[in-house]
Formats: sequence, C-alpha cells, structure tokens
Amino acid sequence: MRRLGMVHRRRLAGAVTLPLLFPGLALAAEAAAHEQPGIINLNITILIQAVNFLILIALLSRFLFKPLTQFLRQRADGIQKALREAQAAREAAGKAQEAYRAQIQATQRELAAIRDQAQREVEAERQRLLTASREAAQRLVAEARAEIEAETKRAKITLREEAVGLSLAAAERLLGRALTSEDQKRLAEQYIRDLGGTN
Amino acid sequence: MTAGSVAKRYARALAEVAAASGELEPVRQDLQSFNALLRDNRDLRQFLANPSVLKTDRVEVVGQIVGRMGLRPLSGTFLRILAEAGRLTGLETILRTFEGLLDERLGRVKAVVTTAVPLDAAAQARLMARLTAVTGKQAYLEIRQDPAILGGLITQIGSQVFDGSLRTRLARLRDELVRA
Repeated sequence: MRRLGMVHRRRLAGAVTLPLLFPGLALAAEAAAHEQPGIINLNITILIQAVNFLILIALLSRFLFKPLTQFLRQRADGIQKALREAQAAREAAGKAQEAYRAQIQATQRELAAIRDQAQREVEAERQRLLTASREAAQRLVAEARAEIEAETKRAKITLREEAVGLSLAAAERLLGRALTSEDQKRLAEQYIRDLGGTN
Repeated sequence: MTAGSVAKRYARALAEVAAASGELEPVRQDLQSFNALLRDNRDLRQFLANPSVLKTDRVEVVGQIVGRMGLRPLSGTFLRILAEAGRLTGLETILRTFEGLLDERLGRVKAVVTTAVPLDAAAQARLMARLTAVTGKQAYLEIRQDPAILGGLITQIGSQVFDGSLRTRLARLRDELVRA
C-alpha cells in the first residue's frame, strides 16, 4: 500500500513538471497573446495551453486517476469484503448464541425435569418410609398386645394351676387321712366291676 | 446285637430246655427269686457288674448263692452261664422275656396290679376272673403295693394299662380345672 502511494506520487510529480521541461513552448504561447488583443484570441498559445491541459489530463488520468480509482475500488472491495465477513461472523455469532441459548434452555429444562423427578422420588421415598413406619408401629403394637394377652393368659393359667394344685394337694392329704379300709374295698370292687369297660 | 435280642435268645433257649424237663414254672420262680436278690443287694450287683472281677470268681460266687438259695440245677446252670458271659446285668430283661414265652406256652397272661392297700384273697380272685374274661386268657396276678396312688387299682397287662387309681382321677380333675 505504501509502495503504491509512492508510485502514484512519483507519477504525479512527473505530470506537473512536464510544462517546465518545455519552456520554449510556454514562452511562444505567451508572445502570441501579446500580438492580438480581443474578447477571445484564438492563437497558438491557447492551442498550446489546451494541448498542455489535455496532456496534463491524460497524464493525470493515466498516472493518478486510474490508480487512485483502482485503489479506491480495491479499498471499497476490501471494506465490502470485511463488511461481509463481519456480517457472516455476526450471523455465525448470532447462530452460536442462539445455539447456546437453546442449549441453555434445554439444560434448564433437563435440570427442571431432573429436579421434578428427584422431588417425586423424594416424595415417593418419604411416603414409603412413612407407610413402613406406620406398618412397623402397627406391627409393634399388635405384637405388644399379643404378648400382653399371652402373658395375661399364662399368668391366669399359672394362677389357676397353682390354685388347683394347692386345692388338690389338700384334697389328696385329706383323702389319704379320710379313706378307710371300707372305702378302699369299695373302690377296689368298683374298679373290678368297671374293668374293661371304661379304660 | 441289642440287649433285647440277646435276652430273647437266652430266654428262648431256657424255655426250650425247661419245657423239655417240665420245669417251666419252677425255673421262673428261681429266676424271680435270684432277680429279687440282685435288685435288693446293691453290693452284689456292683460286684457282678465289675469288669475287673475275674470270670471264675464271678461264676464261683453265683454258684455259692445258687447253692444257698436251693435253686434247681437247671436254674443254677443257667445263672452260671449268664455270669460267665457277663450277662447277669440283663437278668431282669431275660426274666421278663422268659415269662412272656412261658405265658405264651401256657396260654396265660400276667397282670401287674398296683394297689394302695393290700388286696384280700377274695378280691384278688374276683380281679383274676375279671381279667381272664377281659383278655380271654388265664390271668395271674403280680401284686405291688404303692400308697402314692391313694386308692383304687392300676392293672398293667403287657403294654395295656387299666388305671383306676384315685391319684390318676385327681390328676385328670386337675387338668380339667386348669383347662377350664
């Protein structure tokens, strides 16, 4: 770019200094102007100036306008390209941002689903533990009640056994003293009569 | 070989020999007497059961006891055989088996009767007649006295028991009262 600028500057300097290289031609034009005064003096000087002007225009067009135009076009193209690239990058960034947003939303939805699932599981576990605790408590109560009933029953049986045992022990002692030989004979006779019938 | 099968072999052999010589009942009485002596005499039991006692000493002691008790030669010989074989500790079982074989041969049955007080002869006769009618075989009694049964009788024939004791009646009453 810098080299291109130097080349253009060099060509421009050449074009400007061209009239200076032909001083005779300029002086001749100036002398002709002094020969015929009027509103419009169509002499050689004007022609020469016109030619010089055209040459200058040609030189400027050749060495200044075209490179400058080309440079400006290239620069505009570069800017356009940069703008397109920037637009593409912006679009890509937008797409990426959109994708990120979608991904974040998906992640948030997934997190929400996981949180809901976890809450449901926690609730289910809580219900299960609650039910198990109630069942265990009911079972414990039932077992305790059954044990109490069994203990009560055993205690009653024990008491009854003791009472009956004491009563019958007393009865045995009484029988041992009260049974006479006649009673023994009567028992023996009754046994002989009943033998084979009841046993 | 179990003690029961050994006792059965000895009892069967003795029954055959005693039957051949017509001494079944006398031999039974002899064995019963000797068994009662053994049952009542702990020292004699321990001496005969002691494995450190020489066989000859054991046989000699048994021979002397047999002589003093005046047992029949067949009974004495049998007891000496048992002493020599070290089988006197099983005499009770042998005797019970022999009695069973004897009863089979004679068509009779033994009734072990337990009473609280002694049973007079008339009651024994009536009981024997009643047992004969019940079992269909000639019954004979072995009376045992046990005041613990309080009153009434218990009769055992083989594995069959006719229990009419006051003790058992009271026990039944106890069970009924406890269950009620």
